[in-house]
Amino acid sequence: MITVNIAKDFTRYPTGRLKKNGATSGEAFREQFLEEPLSKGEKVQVEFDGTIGYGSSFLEEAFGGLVRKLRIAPSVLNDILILKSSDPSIETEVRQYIEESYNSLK
Amino acid sequence: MEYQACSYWVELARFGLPATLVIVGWIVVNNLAVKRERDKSRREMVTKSADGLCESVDKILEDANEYHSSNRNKQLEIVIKIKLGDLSQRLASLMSITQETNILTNCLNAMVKLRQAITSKHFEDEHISVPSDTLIHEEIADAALAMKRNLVDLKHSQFPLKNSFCLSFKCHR
Repeated sequence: MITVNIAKDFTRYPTGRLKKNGATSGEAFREQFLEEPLSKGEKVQVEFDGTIGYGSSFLEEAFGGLVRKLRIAPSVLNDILILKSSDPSIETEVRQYIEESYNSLK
Repeated sequence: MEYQACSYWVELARFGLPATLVIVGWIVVNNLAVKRERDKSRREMVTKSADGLCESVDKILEDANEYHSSNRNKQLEIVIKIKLGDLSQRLASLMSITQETNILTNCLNAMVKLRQAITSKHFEDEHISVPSDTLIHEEIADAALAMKRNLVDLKHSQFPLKNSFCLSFKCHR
């Protein structure tokens, strides 16, 4: 299992949706840490604590964008993507984006 | 000899039983008083926290309206994200001291909606200011109000009209 701590491995200042908004965007995070292992079916644990906070645009692009790009069903993704945060609203929001993005593909 | 032994037990029961009952009664009453005090403190803490969270929502609403009414301000973006994170963490920490899980779940869902209303669109991108009557301000105001309503529900749930006596008493008044 691969563990990604966003604050340590990516940035303490996750910002924005697209790469054109900055190198610490949701799109950049998804491409750098999520797409490759998850497309191979590897388990990834994402740790959210330690950053200054998250905007919904970052979370939506990172995780909703992941479903749009890889076209993984939430039932599959929820098994291989483990979310760890002391703030339960983060996990709720991310799981919501995964569901909504998959539904938008139908 | 037998009569002496019997009278010994009678004497013991005469003085020992009331003393035992008094001690057991004191322990029960003391434990109930401690529990009542603890519950009272817990309710006060939840109520105070709910009030504090309502104030935080107001401050976030001000910041969000300012942010979405002007050109991009990176400092304010950080401030808003920190305040939203703090609000969410404080809300989550209430889970350990209150049993109103349904209301807390509603609060957490309202928290997600508030963060989405403020930070999903027109946030952390190069934007120009938007006038204050656009949809984004309405969505933020709606989400903030929903959050505050849930916090008020949480506060009121600490003082329920639990039994019929309370209800009838209130009716008669």
